[in-house]
Amino acid sequence: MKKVSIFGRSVPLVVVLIVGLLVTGASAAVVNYLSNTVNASGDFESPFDLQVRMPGTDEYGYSVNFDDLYGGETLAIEYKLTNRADVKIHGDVQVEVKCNQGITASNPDFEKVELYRTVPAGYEGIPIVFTVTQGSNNYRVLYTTDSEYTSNNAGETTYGTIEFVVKDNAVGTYTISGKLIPDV
Amino acid sequence: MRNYNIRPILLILLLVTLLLSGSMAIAMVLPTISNTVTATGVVLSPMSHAISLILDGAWGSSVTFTYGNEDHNDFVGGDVATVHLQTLNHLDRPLTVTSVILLEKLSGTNAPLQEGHVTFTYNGSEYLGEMVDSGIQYTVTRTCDPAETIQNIGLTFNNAHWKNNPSPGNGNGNRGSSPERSSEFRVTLVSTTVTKNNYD
Repeated sequence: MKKVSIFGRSVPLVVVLIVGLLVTGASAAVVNYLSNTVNASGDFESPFDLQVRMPGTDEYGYSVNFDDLYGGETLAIEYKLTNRADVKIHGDVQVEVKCNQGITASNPDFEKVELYRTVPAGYEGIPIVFTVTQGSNNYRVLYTTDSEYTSNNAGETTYGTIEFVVKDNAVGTYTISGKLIPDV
Repeated sequence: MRNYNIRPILLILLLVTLLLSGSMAIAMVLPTISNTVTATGVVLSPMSHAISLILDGAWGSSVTFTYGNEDHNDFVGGDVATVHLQTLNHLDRPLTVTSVILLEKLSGTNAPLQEGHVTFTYNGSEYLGEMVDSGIQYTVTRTCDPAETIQNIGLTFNNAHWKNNPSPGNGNGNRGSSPERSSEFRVTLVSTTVTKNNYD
C-alpha cells in the first residue's frame, strides 16, 4: 500500500483521497442544507465620471486633440469631474504622459504640472502639485496628485484646469491619459 | 511499501496560492475609480532656423557656394563671403540658444581646409572653430528676442592662404605650386538647442 508523509507522519494514500472526497461532499451538502441559493447580478460602474476639453471649446468629452504648441509654452486642459456615488470619495489624479521621443522622471519634459480647481469657488490660484515617477518604460512618466486634496462630495461636480508647462527643448508627439485612482 | 514525501508539493501549492492571492490583491488595489481621458498633440521646437546666401533667397539648412574661378586673378584673398542666419523665436520671451555651424570645403586645388584659412564672424564678432573630420565647426551662443531676426555670418578668406600671390612674404606663395583658383564651400546649420530659459 502506498503511503504519503504528512508532517512527518506516514499516512496511506487511499486514506488521504477518501478524506478529501468526504470533505468535498460534506461541504456541498452543508451548503445546500443551510439555505437555498439566491442570485443577484448587476454592473458596478466607477463612481467618478471624468471629462475634458480644450480651453475655448464648449463640449466636454473623453478625448481631445490639442493644437501644435512650442516648447516653453503652457498646455492647459480643462476637466469636469462628477461623483456619481452617494458618498464622498477620495482619490488621486494620475496622469500618464507618453512621448514618442522618450521621457524620463529624472528630467521630464515639463517644468511643472499643476491642477487648479475653478468650481467650487475658493480654490482659485491654489495649485495642486503633481509628483512624477517613471512609467513602465522610458517613453512614459506618471504624474500623481497628493490625495488629501482630491475628493468630491456625493453627487458633486467639480471643474478645473491641469496645466503642463512645457520645457523649451521638449519636442515630440505627446499622449496624455488622465484618471482617478483610489486614495491609498 | 513506499513513502511519498508530499511536503514539497504542499509548499508549491502554498506558494501558488500566495501568488494568486497577491495578484488578486494588487488587482483590487489598483483599479481606477473613474474612466480614463486622453489628450494628444505635438510639441514643436520654440526656435526655427535657416540660412541663405541672399536675403530674399531660399532658406534652408545649408548653402553651397564657390569662391573664385578658373581665372585665378579673380581669386582675391581678404574677400568676405556672407551667409545669412535667420532665427524665428516663437515664444514671447527671449531665448538663449547655441548653434553649431559647419564649414566644409567640398572641392579645390589646395590642401584641405585648415584653421586660419578662414575667419568666422557672427554678428561682427569673431569665433574660433574646431577641426572635425569634414571641416571646421563653429559654436555660437546668442540670445534671440521674440519674432524673427536675421544676423550675418561672415567668412573671410584670409590673404595668406587664398590670394594668388607668389611672394606674400610669409612663405605661403602659391603661384607655380598649387594655386587655389576655385573652391566650393558648404555651410551647414548642424543643430540649434535652447540653452537657457530666460523665464521672467
